[in-house]
Amino acid sequence: MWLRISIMCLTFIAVPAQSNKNDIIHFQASADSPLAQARYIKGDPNKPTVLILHGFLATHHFSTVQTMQDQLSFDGYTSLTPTLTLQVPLRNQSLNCNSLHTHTLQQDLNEIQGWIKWLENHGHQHIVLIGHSSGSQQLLEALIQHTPASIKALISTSLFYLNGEELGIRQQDLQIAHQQLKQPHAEPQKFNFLYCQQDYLATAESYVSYLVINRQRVIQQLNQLKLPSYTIMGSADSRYQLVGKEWLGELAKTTTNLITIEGANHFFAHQHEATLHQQIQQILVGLEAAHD
Amino acid sequence: MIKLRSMPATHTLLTLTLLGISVLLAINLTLYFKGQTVQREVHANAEIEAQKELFAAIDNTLQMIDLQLTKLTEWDEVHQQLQQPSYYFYWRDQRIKESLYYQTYYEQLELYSADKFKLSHLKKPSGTVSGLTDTLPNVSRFFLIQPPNKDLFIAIKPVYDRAQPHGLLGYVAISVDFYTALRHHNQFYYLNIQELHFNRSGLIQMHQLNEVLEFKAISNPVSDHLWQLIQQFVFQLSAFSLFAALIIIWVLTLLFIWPLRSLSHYLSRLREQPNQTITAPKHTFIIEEFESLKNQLADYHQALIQAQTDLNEKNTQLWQLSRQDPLTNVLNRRAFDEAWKTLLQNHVETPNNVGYLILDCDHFKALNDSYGHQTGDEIIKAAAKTLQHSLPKGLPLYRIGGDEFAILLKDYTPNQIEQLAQKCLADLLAYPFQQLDVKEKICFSIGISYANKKQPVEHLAVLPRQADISMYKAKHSPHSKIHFYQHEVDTDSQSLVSSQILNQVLAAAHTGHGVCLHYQPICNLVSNECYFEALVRLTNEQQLIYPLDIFTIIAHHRLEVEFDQKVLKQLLQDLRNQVLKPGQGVSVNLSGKTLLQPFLVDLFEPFLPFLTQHKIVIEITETVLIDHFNEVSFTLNKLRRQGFLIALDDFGSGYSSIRYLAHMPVDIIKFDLSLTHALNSDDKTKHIIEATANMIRQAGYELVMEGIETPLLLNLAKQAGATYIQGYLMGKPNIQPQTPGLVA
Repeated sequence: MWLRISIMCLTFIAVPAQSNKNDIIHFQASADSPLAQARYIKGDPNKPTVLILHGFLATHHFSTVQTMQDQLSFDGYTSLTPTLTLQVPLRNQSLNCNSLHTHTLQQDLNEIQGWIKWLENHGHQHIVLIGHSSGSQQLLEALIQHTPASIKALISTSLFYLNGEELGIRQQDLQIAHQQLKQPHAEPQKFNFLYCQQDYLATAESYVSYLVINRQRVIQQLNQLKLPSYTIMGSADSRYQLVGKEWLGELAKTTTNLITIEGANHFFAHQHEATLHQQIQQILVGLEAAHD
Repeated sequence: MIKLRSMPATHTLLTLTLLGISVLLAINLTLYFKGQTVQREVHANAEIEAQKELFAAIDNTLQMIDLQLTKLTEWDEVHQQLQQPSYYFYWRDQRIKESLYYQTYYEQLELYSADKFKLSHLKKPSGTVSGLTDTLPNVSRFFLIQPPNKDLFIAIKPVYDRAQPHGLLGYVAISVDFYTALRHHNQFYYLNIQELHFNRSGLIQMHQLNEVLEFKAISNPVSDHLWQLIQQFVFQLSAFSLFAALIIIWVLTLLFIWPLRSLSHYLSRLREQPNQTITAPKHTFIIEEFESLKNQLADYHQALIQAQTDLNEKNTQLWQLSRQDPLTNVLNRRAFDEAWKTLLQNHVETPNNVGYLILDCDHFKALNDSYGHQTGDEIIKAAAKTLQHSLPKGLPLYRIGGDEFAILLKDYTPNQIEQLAQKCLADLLAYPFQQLDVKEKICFSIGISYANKKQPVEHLAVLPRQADISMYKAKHSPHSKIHFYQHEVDTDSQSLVSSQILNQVLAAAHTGHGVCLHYQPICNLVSNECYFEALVRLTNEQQLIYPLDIFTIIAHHRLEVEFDQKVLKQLLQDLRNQVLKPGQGVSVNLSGKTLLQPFLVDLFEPFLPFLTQHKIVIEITETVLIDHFNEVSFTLNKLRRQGFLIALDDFGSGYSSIRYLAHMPVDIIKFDLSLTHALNSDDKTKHIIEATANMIRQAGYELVMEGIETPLLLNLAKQAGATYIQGYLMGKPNIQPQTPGLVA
């Protein structure tokens, strides 16, 4: 409730930057977050607006994100690629594993909501969300919490989850984190988290907040989603070594429309960028046709 | 021009060696000092380069630190910490040092709030070891020198709010280990970073940097090593040079100096003792040429000694030979001259009575011609041998001419000399010369002169001539064959001792001054025609000088040719002056030497014009004619062909050989007065003379008899067959030719 109120308030108090065709937008997307920034490219107003969210600790400068934005902008779509602040004012650099992580999943979700609101406030009522990697999970979490009417679809790319022993999450870390949560002013610790092996310096609150996104929760949320959902996966993603290739099967069993690009890795690098774009373009065209 | 002075080889070697060593040492010292200068310059340049390098490194380092600070101020996490410093302590202590922003040479990184308070100061106050105090100073860059270990550079940069460019968020401050940072960002080639230090502690502003930084240049290992090598080289070269010089001196001394000195010493000894056998150095020289030279010198010396010995022997032999008459083995003319010269020289200091005795064989030439030279030699040898036996032992006998012997007698009285002369003559006369198949009686004449020790040496000098005169007297004396000059006081001796007469005769020979001719008639017994014999006189204001004095001096000084020329000149003048009237003939005497002159014919050329009006007769003596018959015959015949007549004078005074008569190139034979006077002796002699005269007449010669002083002699001459007569009876010599009365 407080989150929603704060978002509402911010909607009115936030002073968006100039929204030129290719602008960097400074915007405090959430009351509990510092000033954030996003890349905003205006396109055809008759086409859906696309919000693309970066992955874990990355920014909107991340190549996969930026490529997708550029290609969609070329196709005439209005796009916004926000950078989650992770509690860094106007963050424009990726955080390292050993950076001090105090941000929480909820703060991220609040910022996502704030950016959706920002789009709506700027007249975009047909919005398609595209997430990459953990950005997909966060968009999914955000939509599960609240699905604005302007959101017409969710396209998840390289969708996985954050918690699971197969991902390196250690029970002892969880115990420590939970123990710290009980203590005031607990010192940050280094945890195992995703690719940050034993050097993810985070407060317990931060660390634990993201661990809610586990395998089952993702499958479950996909099924709970009220929107058209598309999931694009690379068949050569290295994460399958941790989560198993059956993850694709599990996804396929959900309501999401699973698209697998053969040979693509986690970032759809090289020639698979075009394939990814082609798939997204086809989804958007399909959504446009359905909307019409 | 520089005059070089000789130096001993040792000195030369030492001088050259010292000079060489000096030059080498000078070069070494020059090299040493040059190397030292280069070393100093390298050090100075290294200091300069080190200073440049230091401040360039400081600039570079500070720029790098400033760049790092700038990046820090733009780092998201710095912005995050300045805005949400809740976990700043953990971030600073755990995160920052793991980030790429944190450099290894950072001592500390701190964030400060906009009001310049350290973010962490409330949480955990820190000291000032890291240099970052709780509150920021007002300067953004400075040095904090904290001996002994911490010399820090502090840099501070403001961080501005990204949303509000002018909104100050806070500050980033870092303290840097200055030396580590310098080393991290720079490489030093000249600066010795270990020696870099600040000369004082505390806070040092940037503008004070020049004053407080002290540094040293890295010692250039190449330069230092090179310098060490140069030093070693110089010292080693010097030592080697000295050692080499000593070796060279030793070797040169052994090879050259020692042999040279040894040979030089050897040569000096040879020079100092030229007549002694000097042993060559016994040691062996290394150099073959020196050894050869030594041996050659020894051989040469040996040969020289041998040659000297041989030469001495030869000299002795030669001295003996040169002073010994090979025919008679008595001393010769040279020995006599030396003995006479020595006697004269010694007479001044040790005067002695001196007797000068000469002896010769009468008519030896004729004997020689008649019996041959071999017989003549035998006569001489026999005479010498006899005389040697006659003389006291030790009294040397000299053969001073063909048949002439001489004896010098010291400390003999005149009587002793005369007795000795008589003994010699007696022994000679007693010698059986018939053994040599000589039929004639061989006689000898002895002339003696004498001077006592009180007389000056000048008196001794005339003894030879006095002896000659005495000999002449003895030869011409029919009674005494020994003539002692000391017993006479006559004109002969006077003429010789009279320097006035001597000077006048010599002057006449050279200039013709005083020469005058007196003419004595020679008359034909048939036609009474006369011609005149020109007899020479010398005139001065006081007296006349007669031929005996004149020719004695002329012969002594060997001026016969010159004097004859002057006489002929006077005769020519008389002819021109018509002292001799046309038709008056004249005869003139020539010496034997003049007769042998090649220009004899030329002498008479001026007389040719007078031959038409004057009968000119040239009188010669038989001695020269016989001795040089062929040469003289040719010349005389030439003169005869020109119209001159030739007369053989004094025939019979010598040992005239009859065998020459048939071929003599003469027209007239003049009997010597001794023959003419002999007509008045015994019949046998008279008949021989008459037969001789007849023979001469038969041979076609005109015959002149001299010495006709009485009518008896005139008649005897007529009976004997003389064609011409000459003598006081017809007229004495007169300066004006006077024709006598009828004589036929």
